[in-house]
Amino acid sequence: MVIEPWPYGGLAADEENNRYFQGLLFGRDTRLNNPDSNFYAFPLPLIPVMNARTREIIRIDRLPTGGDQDHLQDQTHSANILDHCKAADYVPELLPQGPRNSLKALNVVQPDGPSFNVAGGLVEWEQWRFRVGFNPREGATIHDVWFHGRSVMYRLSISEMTVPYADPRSPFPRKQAFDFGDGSIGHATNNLKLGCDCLGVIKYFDGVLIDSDGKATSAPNVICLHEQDNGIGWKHTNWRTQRAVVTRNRELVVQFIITLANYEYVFAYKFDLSGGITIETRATGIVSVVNIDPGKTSQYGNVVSPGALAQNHQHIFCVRMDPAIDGFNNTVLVEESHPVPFGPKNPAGNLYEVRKEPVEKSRWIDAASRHNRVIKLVNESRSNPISGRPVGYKFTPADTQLLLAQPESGQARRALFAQHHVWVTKYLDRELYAGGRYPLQSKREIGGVGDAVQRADDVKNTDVVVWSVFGLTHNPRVEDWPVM
Amino acid sequence: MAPHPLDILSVDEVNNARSIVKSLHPEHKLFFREIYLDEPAKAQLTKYLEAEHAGHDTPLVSRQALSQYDVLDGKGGVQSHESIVDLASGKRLHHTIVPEEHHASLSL
Repeated sequence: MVIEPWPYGGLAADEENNRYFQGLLFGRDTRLNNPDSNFYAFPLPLIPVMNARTREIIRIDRLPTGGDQDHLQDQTHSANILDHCKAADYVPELLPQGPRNSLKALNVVQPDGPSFNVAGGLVEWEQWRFRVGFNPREGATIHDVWFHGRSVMYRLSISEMTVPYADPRSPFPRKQAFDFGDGSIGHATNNLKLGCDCLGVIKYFDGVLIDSDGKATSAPNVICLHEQDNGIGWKHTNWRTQRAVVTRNRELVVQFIITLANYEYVFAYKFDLSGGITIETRATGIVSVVNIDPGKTSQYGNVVSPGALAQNHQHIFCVRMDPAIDGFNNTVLVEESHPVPFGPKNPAGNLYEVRKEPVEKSRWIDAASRHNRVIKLVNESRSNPISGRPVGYKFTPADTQLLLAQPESGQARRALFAQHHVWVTKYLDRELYAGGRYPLQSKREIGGVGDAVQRADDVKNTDVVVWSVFGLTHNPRVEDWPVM
Repeated sequence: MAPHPLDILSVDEVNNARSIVKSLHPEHKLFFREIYLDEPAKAQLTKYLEAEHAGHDTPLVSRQALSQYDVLDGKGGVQSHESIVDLASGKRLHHTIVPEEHHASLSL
């Protein structure tokens, strides 16, 4: 039996405020004699709950294993709980047909070395200059970002993420992770020399973590840096002469990968040749599954393997951007494009209007792709000499689905940040965590962006911070199993 | 060479922070969760960065460590603390006892 420790999740309103941990249980087929055989294929419908202070198991939650016909009922399973489950291994030596062997070599060679220069935490590449940091709460952080001798960002980080599960049967309503704030991102960060997917010349950064006695331990290769080719940069052909000119889109990637039990998340800060910054998150690893009776299906997820139900859930991330566009006093503009009715200003009806509104007081803003809503971070005191408009950076908030749980639910109260796409706040030292400082077992979000905007600070032409929220509603597919 | 204010704490600095924190709680056993750089206040760091970018001498920015740890009273009682210490002077600059309604982050 394998015990997978998990944070307890959100305390119910009437639950005593003790510190708990719980264990998700799985069976491992020891006949395979391989410590990496996939135990997630054999979920057991029991969760022991431990009081973390006293180290006592205070109860064992029995999990429901029913299907659509059973609704919220539990205890529908038979005694032979794993008989109908099926192995699903991913390590190469356990694959029934062996690993794929049909791909021919693709080599990334940098014969003159990489184009980046690294000295300590300072990175320089193609007119970019910034510093890489690392801490056990946020993983890799990016500081003091300059492009072509101009200031762009003071600080960039992955501020928080939440993964709420949508199965209404007890005890699943408390199944909600805050993978950054719950703790231990430091130890969850992969040593990237073991299985890094990066090709070409790679620079690794080390971190420093501690043991429970506070003694420093090295965390090697927690961040990797490399260049990659990402297709065409730009192209134009003079059709008269047939002369084509093409450039490549080369990117610099700063990446870290965290493993939280079954899931992996890959976070990459990417810098391109035209001054653009992309922050990319990818979910991989293994979906969370619970035991389901043989032959049943469930509206609460998808059966991805016999006896294994992958529950519906969301992953909602928040990136914190502290802009410094040509200086520290910036303004946030909300820009939209709108149709205009026929009229003297619009005789042919083809006119559309670009509207810009500055954000005056701290608040949240939602994405609106139907209006092409774009957020601009500008410096009102600096104009572009060609356009005459304030210099700035822009991003389009991705119109991804926000938190689905009911606003009065425990899950929603704990994650106010996940209920809107953009938050604009006034800078405060150490106000770094969108979900608050202590999300572990929280009943509600305290000290996060929800509280920050309540201050209703003036945020125009001042030291402003912008938080970007985006995510995935993950209704698992059979093809997500055993690894995505 | 002096570390840059944004450099992560070195192994020696972390161990130094640990010693300082232990000396602040001489009577108790401590369970450490995290020790890491307490990034300088923006007002201070921006002055450093301006000088750095201009190629001027940079002002001194103190190296500070944030420690998150539990203090065990030996009778089963546990309190979660956070201390920010100045590594050069060995002094504690901030001390928070995490209010009971919150739970300190987990550690592996």
